[in-house]
Amino acid sequence: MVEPSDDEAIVRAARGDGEAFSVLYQRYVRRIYNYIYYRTGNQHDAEDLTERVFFRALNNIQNYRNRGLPFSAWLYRIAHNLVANWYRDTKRRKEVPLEDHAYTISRGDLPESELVKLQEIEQLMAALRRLPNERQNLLILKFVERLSNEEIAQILGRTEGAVKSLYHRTLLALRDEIGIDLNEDKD
Amino acid sequence: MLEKTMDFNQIGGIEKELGVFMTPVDPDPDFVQSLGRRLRAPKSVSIEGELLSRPVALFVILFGLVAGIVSVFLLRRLR
Repeated sequence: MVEPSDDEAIVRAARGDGEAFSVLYQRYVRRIYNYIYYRTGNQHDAEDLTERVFFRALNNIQNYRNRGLPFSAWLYRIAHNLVANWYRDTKRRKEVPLEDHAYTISRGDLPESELVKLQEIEQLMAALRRLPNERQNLLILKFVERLSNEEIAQILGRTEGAVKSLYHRTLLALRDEIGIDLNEDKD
Repeated sequence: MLEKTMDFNQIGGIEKELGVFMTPVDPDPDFVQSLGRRLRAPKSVSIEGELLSRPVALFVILFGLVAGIVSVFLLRRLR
């Protein structure tokens, strides 16, 4: 059986077809989960917020209007708002744990050179989370989702040129953030 | 002294490391299945945590204020 396109599934889901919404869910759950996981840094909150994104989408799909943007842009917008609320409500921005991250390995088992590498990765990820929301979104969409600049531009509501420029400025900002970290470590 | 393994001074170095470490993660399959089942279930009224907590918090604050004002009023009357 051929799976419906996003547009077909959206129309059917808006009429209350649970199976149609399920198709959309299966298509996008991994991407939304990844986005939230990299924004929050832990599995528990990523699952909690992913659940809220899809329930909110289900409850509001009849209000969805296709304005030429991919359906994922709408889901990312919901996810972005929920993550922003999560940061605001809990003020956890500075306390995001990194223990759950995929790269985390038991430190006791590591040779010293690996320990240095691990520390550097943690500095990189911590610096990433200090960036403004839009810049974090850009890096997640580019590296985790492997989206093109054109697709990112659609999701962020910018032009492709603006995304390229923002990307370059984001890397510069990240370099500066890491520089601050390294200097603090020396002190 | 241990040498740094990554070159964060160069934009290219940062880009390379992001490419290596920002990889997709797989959500727990049990979570994905369970959420999928709940989304397919007949629509029920779901109250999101944040929507529920704000009115409750507001009520608690208002209740505290009123209780405080009444307490002060009663104490003054007793004196």
